This record gives sequence, structure tokens and C-alpha cells, in this order.
Amino acid sequence: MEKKYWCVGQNFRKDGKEKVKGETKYAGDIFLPDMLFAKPLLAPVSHGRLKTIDTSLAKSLPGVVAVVTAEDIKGSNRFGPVMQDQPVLVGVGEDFKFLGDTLALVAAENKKIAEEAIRLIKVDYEELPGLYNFNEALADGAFRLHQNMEKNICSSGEIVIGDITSGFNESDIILEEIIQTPRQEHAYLETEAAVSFFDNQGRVNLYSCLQDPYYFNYDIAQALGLPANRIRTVATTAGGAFGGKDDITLQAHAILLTLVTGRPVKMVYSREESILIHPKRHPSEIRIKIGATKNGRITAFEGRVLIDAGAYTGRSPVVLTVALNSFVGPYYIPHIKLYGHAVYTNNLVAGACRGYGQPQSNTARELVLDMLADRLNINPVTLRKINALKQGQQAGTRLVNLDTPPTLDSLLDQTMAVLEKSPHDDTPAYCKRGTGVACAMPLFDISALPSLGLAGTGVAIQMHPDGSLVVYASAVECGQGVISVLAQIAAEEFSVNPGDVEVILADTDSTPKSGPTTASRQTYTSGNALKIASEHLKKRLISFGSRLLNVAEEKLYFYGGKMLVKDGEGEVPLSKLAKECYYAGVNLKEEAWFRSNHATIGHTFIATAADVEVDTLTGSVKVLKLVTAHDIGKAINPLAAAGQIIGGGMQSLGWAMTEDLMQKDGMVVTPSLAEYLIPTALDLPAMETILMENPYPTGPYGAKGVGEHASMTAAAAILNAIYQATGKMVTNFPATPEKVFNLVTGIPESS
Amino acid sequence: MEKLELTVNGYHYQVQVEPDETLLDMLREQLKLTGTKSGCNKGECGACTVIMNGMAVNSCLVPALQARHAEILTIEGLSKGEELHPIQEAFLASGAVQCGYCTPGMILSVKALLDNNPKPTVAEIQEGISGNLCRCTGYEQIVQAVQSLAGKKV
Repeated sequence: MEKKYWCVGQNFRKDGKEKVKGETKYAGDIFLPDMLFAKPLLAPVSHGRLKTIDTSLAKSLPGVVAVVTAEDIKGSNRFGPVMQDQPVLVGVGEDFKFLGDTLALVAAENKKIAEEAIRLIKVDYEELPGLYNFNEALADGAFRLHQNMEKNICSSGEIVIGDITSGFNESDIILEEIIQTPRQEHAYLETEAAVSFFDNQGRVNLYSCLQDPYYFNYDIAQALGLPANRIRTVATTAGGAFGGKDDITLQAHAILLTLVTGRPVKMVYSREESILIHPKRHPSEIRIKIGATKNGRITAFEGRVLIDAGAYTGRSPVVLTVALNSFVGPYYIPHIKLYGHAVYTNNLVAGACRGYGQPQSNTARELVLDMLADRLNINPVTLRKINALKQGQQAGTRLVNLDTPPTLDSLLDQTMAVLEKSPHDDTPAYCKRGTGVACAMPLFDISALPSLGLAGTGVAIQMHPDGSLVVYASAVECGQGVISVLAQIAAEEFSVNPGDVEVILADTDSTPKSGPTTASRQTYTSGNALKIASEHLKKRLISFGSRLLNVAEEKLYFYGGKMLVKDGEGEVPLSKLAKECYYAGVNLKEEAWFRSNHATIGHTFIATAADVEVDTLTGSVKVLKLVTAHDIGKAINPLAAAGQIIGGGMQSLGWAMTEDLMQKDGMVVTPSLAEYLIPTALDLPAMETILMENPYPTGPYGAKGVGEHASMTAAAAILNAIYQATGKMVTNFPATPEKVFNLVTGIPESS
Repeated sequence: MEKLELTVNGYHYQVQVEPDETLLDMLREQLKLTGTKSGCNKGECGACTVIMNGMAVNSCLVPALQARHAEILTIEGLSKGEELHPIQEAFLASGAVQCGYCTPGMILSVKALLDNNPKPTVAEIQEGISGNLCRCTGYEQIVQAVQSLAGKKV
């Protein structure tokens, strides 16, 4: 029988009312008395040596309060989550390595003066040759972008299971393909913004949209030469993040300017600055060699992943690790050999972007599976079912333990059942219609990977003397709904109204370290930590309550804002119980720590089916329908969960169809939202989302992660649908009309 | 600096503006009506949408001086105190709000749409909000919210 919950499983949006009223304060909405406005001076070209920088003219402009260069930095002037190799400001005599490097900063009385002063800074530099693609960067004799590295290889990885040679020997057919995936821009509507100021104790306070307050606090402190406890970092409600706000950008700059001027400083990136500076989804080149028997059993999978890290290390080593560990996905393949490299170039820095390497490797694999199905003359759905992982089998990564029965077959059936209901009668004669599928086994809470080991999660809960509850967590609300989910979990545990629970998020002065709000992890990790903390607090309340009511502890339970006695022998409202505790000196705050099992990480299953119409006269493709079925374990908030799948699906549709942050010789060809095209409402296909509930043993109420997962299947399902419609695979998406037209008509792309 | 008189959310204002100051900057920086958002400052994203004399406009493209004697509605003027406007209620009920950054502009575009066309088709809704980018929701739940309002008084 299904467990009955108090409020888990209901739709609730704690931050909804303030958002529809426009009352939510994002970082850029903060105005402080005496506040300065700051602007950055960015690198003039993609690669060069800074010879001199003359700020005297800029400093003399009335209204300019400070012009700051690397000389003004007292710390290491370097930051980075894995290797601290990225400069806060590039110094004289140093090289700038990409267009997003910052050379100087201006703080002025208003925006206009700051912009004018930036133009008055004189920079003398020597332009250097650049590395703009894998071939250039990996060529013998290529110059090294980082002198401490032997080659331009940022990191490498390898996974071998079974014996790849015998795997290919057992196969009847071998297919080799190369898939290229484009650089994706997050394009959150809120560009990066930060406000910094001194508090009464002379500490710098930072309010900014960012995804991990403790990481930012620590890394900025050492880069600027401050003890971490002299900075307070508050993550404001983010206007979208998707991984793009997981890394330091203007936050160190705002703090530096407050240190230099003593005044509050606000810095907000223009859209063009945002596009140049924050890390992108890695462009990749993925080579797959796959072997199968005539009846569709895949025996061998050899894959190489190259990802373009851009100019600095950033998160590339971890993104590569995750790309490789999700490469084989939800299938059982006995012999695998996976390897890859993250490669330094002078292109834009790449980093976290919804899926963290999984969309690239999963999409490539799913495209090749459809091409294999075609060669084998087997239905693509059947091929996937033949090879779907079964419990007890070894996944293509040693990081996953199949602790619940895999659900891929059922998810595929559910998506296809919906798609088959679509009418097929109104396709014009010059159009071709096709349906495609794609599957994945998304990993979540990957920051618990043994190789990372960083991301345990603390959450605290406090009951005030009137019985009202406050949750303290360092998760960040970036639209996904974590503030609502945490309120629901506390409300579930104490049986109170979720609207009455306050949730304080992401403030290094008051909330415990929670690790990053990334990797589809916060419902799982903060949710678990909050449950543990709540259990401890409830235990103490029950112990006190049993003395107060003079009944055995086992008879007490919480319901509807009260502590009740089983069999109706008495009750006490939480307001009275908490007040009695207050006067008796009983601690009513509890903090708990959750860190998922070290040996394995969370995983789930997802299947997406797409229906497309290809106009053979123009090459334009219309996505008619997108159906996704996701094994969510338990949906704590079904509307928010569906919103993640739909929104993630549309981001992935954009990646498949139009989005390519193109660079040519380091310059950005699509520098604004007029050239870099994300989906509009006109691109919206009919959407259906199926949430399959299959409780996860270690999840709170059985919940799994969901945030990133649709980005691992939607693009592949769409591209496979184009393949099914036309017989041509777009192996270097996005599938622009020009590319599709050329493929359909057989015209080579270069002509 | 030039003197400018206009009405915002039913209140009369007199402000001094620079000739190149946009309506967006004036609303946010002088009147501190920060519910109107800046996403691109070039008319590409729609986050700064307000209603000016009954029409939805990108306030980042409107010189403040062009709003002389105009009637402006921003998100702050839509609800009556604690009582939400039906469009705001519909957005919450349909799950049309995630990060919330596009929400004020999106809601005002929907208002302008429904004021002119109380029963829009799905295609008309998609067209009506196509100037407002949203990166979180994928638009589906926004379209559902607007559909739920079709024919109702807003």
C-alpha cells in the first residue's frame, strides 16, 4: 500500500507569491547608500601578453573612485575549484588566455562614468598565436598554454571493464562514428551581479547569485589574501543558474573594490560580458566504436571523449570524469574501453552546465545506437530493450550499484505509448515525419564521487518558543524549488503547514555548509540532512513531552501542529510544548550532516521520445512533440519536478536545434541573444511528462534527483527523430536548416 | 537633465532624467521599482517589459523622455495589496514560475495579450509571449497558465 504523507507529494511554491509580484530581491536589485558601480576591462584579444597598463587618465575622470589592477591584490590572485590557475586580474608581464580574462576594474559614482573610464585605460600588449581547436592544441610541438603542464591536456580519464578485443571478436557488425557537440551558453535571464560592503565588524559582505557560498567564500578569500572568516557570502535568489553560476566571476572583483575603496560596490555584467566570462557547456568530439551481434546484443563499446576546457582548468577534470562514467548509460555491455581528455585552448572557459558532461556522452551514444539499429535492421526501441541493464549486471561504471530494479523498459513503453497516440495525418507532402527515442541513466549527487569527496551536506532546524520552525541550509534557490521542498520536508516531519516554515538559505554566517547546488543533488542531500536533523529534534521533543504529559515516549506522535498521544489520551500544541522547552532550557536547534555512500553514487533512468517534421524544401525542422518519462523515486513536489523535466527538455531542444556559441579564431561569432538563439515560446512542442514513482532506498521519502536529467535525452531523441524521418544523422549539431537541407539533398556542407 | 512627468501604477511622478536615460533605468534606479528586470538592455529578452499607454513595451528601448505624460504599469502595480491579480494566481497554480526573473515581464506581456484578445488560441498565446525569453520553464506551464485564463475577466 502506498504510504500516506502529510504534505510530501503536493504542489507548493514558497517563493511564488513574491516572484509574481516582482518583490524578490536579486543581487542587482540591491541599492545601498554611497554605493559605487563597477565595470571590468576585458582582454582585447584571445591570447596576448600584457606589457603595460596605464590607468592615469581613467583615474583623473571626475566621479571615478578607483581603478584597480593586479598590483592591488594581496593574495595569490588565482582561483579555481580544482586547480587555482585562473587570475582574478591579469598582471603586467602575464598572459591573458581568453576573451573573458579581466585586466582592470573601475569603481565610479555611477554606471555611465564607470563605462567611460574603462575606455580611458590604455593597454599595451603583444598578441600571441592561439590554440582554437583540438588538433591545434594536441599537435606535436604546440606551445603549452600552461607552463606547468607537459602538454595542453588538462586531464585524462580511462575506464576499462572486460576485454575490448574479445568484445569486438564476438560481434558480427562494427560501427565507428564521430559526433561533435556544440558549446552551449546557459543564457539565464539574470546576468551575474554582486554587491559587496563592509559591515560593523569590518568584514566584507558579499551578496551575489552563485551556487555554492562556502566554496566562493574560501576560494575568493585565498585569492585576495584574507582569512575566510573576514568574508561573509550570501547567495541571493538566482535568476537561473544551470551550473553557469557555480564558478567565480565578478564576485572577487566586487570584494576587491570594496577593500580598496571602503565603500559598497555593485557590479552587474552586461549580457555580452556574461557570455564571454562564465564557463560554458564544453564543446566535444566523441568517437564511438561499437560492436554487436546480428540479433542486437552489444558486445563491445569503445569510446573517446575530447572536451574543450578553454583557457583554464575550471571544472573540466570532473566534467570529463562524469562524461566517461555515464558514457555507457543504462545498458549492459560486457566489454568496454572508455577514455578521454580535457584539452586546453584559447577558447572560452568551459565548466558546469546542466548535466556536467553527461549530455555530451549520452547524446553521442544514443545517436550511434540509432545508426546501429538501422544497420542491424532492428527497431531502435527494441535494440535498447535488448541491451537494457538488469539488476545484478555490471553497469558501464564502477560507481553505480543497481540498488533498485532498473526501470528503463517501462519508461520506454510509457513514452512510446503516448507518442503513438499522436495523429499523423496532416503532414504536407514536402515534409517528412519521424519519431525518435533516447535513454539515459543520469547520475546525481556526483559531487559525492570518491574522487571529489567534498560534498557532505549540513542542514539545521530550529523551533522557536512559539513552536514555529526555521530551516537553515546552504542550498541555493535558482528556480528549481529547493526552498519549497525543504519547507515541505520540515512540515512533513512535524506535521505543520509548509507555508508556516521559514527557510534561510545560503549565508555563510548562519547556514551550515551544504556543498554546491549542482548535480541534481539538493533534494537528495539537503533533504536527507534535514530529515535526520528533524528526527533528532523530534526525539528531544518527545522525550520532554513524555515527562510533560506523563505518558510513554512510544505513544507520542506529531499531527496537525500538535503532539498527540496514541489512543487519544491527551495532546499538547507545539506552541505550548516549545514554550515549556524554552523555559526548561531544552535545546531546540539541531544540525545534521549527510554524506552519501562513498562507494557508489545516485542514479536513475529516463526515456524521451520526440516527434518531428522535416521540411525537405528548406531543411527546417519542427519538433511537434516531446514525451519524457522519468523514474523520480518519489516526487516531493510534482509540479516543480515536471517543471525541471519540461524546462530541461527545452534547453536540450535548443542545444539540438539552434544553440551554438560559435568561436572563430577565438572571437565569438554569437556574442548576444540576438545571435545566440535560445528557444522562444514559438518553438514549444506539445509536451508530456510522466513521473514514475519507484521509491529510492536512500532518498528522502524515496526521492531521487531530477534537475539535469532531461538534458541528457531530449536533444538525442530529436536528432534521432530527424534521422528516422530523413535517413540522415546530424553528427555535428545543432541541426540548423542549412545542415539538414545539405544532408537531405546530399550537398556537402562546405558548399 | 530634463524634467519628466508621468504616471506609474496610478501615482504621479516628477523626475529629472538624462536625455539618454532609458525608461528601464529610470524605473529601477530613480523610482526603485526593481520588479522590472534588466536582461540584455537591447530589446532581445523581454525581461524589462512594462505596459505603456496600454501597450507592452521593452522599457530598455524606450527613452525615459518618450514616456512624458504616459501611463505606465509595472509589476508592482498589478496586484491590489495582498490580493493577487488573476494572471499572477494562474501563474502560481500552473507552475509557471521558477527563477522568477522573466516573470514580471512575462506577466505584463500576458496582460497586454489578454486585454486585446481575451480568448487567445494556443498559437496566439505562443506568439503573444514570444518576445519574452524564459530559460527555466520551457514555456509549457506559462502557456497552460494563460489558457486557464481564457475568457475570464483579467
